Amino acid sequence: MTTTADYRPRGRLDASTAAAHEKSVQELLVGEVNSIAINLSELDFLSSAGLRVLLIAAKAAKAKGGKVVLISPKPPVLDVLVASGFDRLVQIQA
Amino acid sequence: MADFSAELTPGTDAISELIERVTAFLTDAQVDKRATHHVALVLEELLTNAATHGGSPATAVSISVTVSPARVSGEVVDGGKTFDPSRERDADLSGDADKREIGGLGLVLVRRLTESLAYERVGGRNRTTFSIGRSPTC
Repeated sequence: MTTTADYRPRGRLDASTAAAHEKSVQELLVGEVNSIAINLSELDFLSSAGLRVLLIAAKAAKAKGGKVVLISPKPPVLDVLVASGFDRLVQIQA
Repeated sequence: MADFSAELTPGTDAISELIERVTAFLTDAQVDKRATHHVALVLEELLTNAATHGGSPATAVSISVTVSPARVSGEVVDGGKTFDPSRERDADLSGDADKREIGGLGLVLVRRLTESLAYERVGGRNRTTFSIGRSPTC
């Protein structure tokens, strides 16, 4: 069974904000929650430090039998997801 | 042509502040959002790399950014250990989430999102230059 929590990072997901986002995402995966829908529509900047947060979330969700879905990334953020091969790793919805 | 230059001692806060200034400069120069994002990203990755792997964290790093009609060019010069970002091994991008290594993605992004990337060791310093094309459709 899949129980999904929603998460909506805004602004920047980079070295300066990664630790706070990592903590928030891991706190969502408690109890029956095993999947996270991450809405990227208000995310302006994604760096490798931010990708690490998404990968940690994907690993943690998979370990609980769930998954991470990324929703509505802006074009530059989508470029980063594709360049890093994340489009083959997690589901991305337009 | 428009130019931006700055010097900083790389740390998370200093890098973040610099990236905001570069983003504002590129926006003022009417560079499209996609190229602006990728220039800021490449600078962040190169500066973070210099801060964590350079071996001399207190060494100042100088950067410059030049906007021309077709592209944005950037230069990062640091006094750390010899480090050629164009020759480092790519992280393994295959496999499932549970097998994927965490780390090594910064240089993958630098290589894949730049139009050109060059490195030279000059006077005991690393000089990395890159360019990113401007997209008129964005």
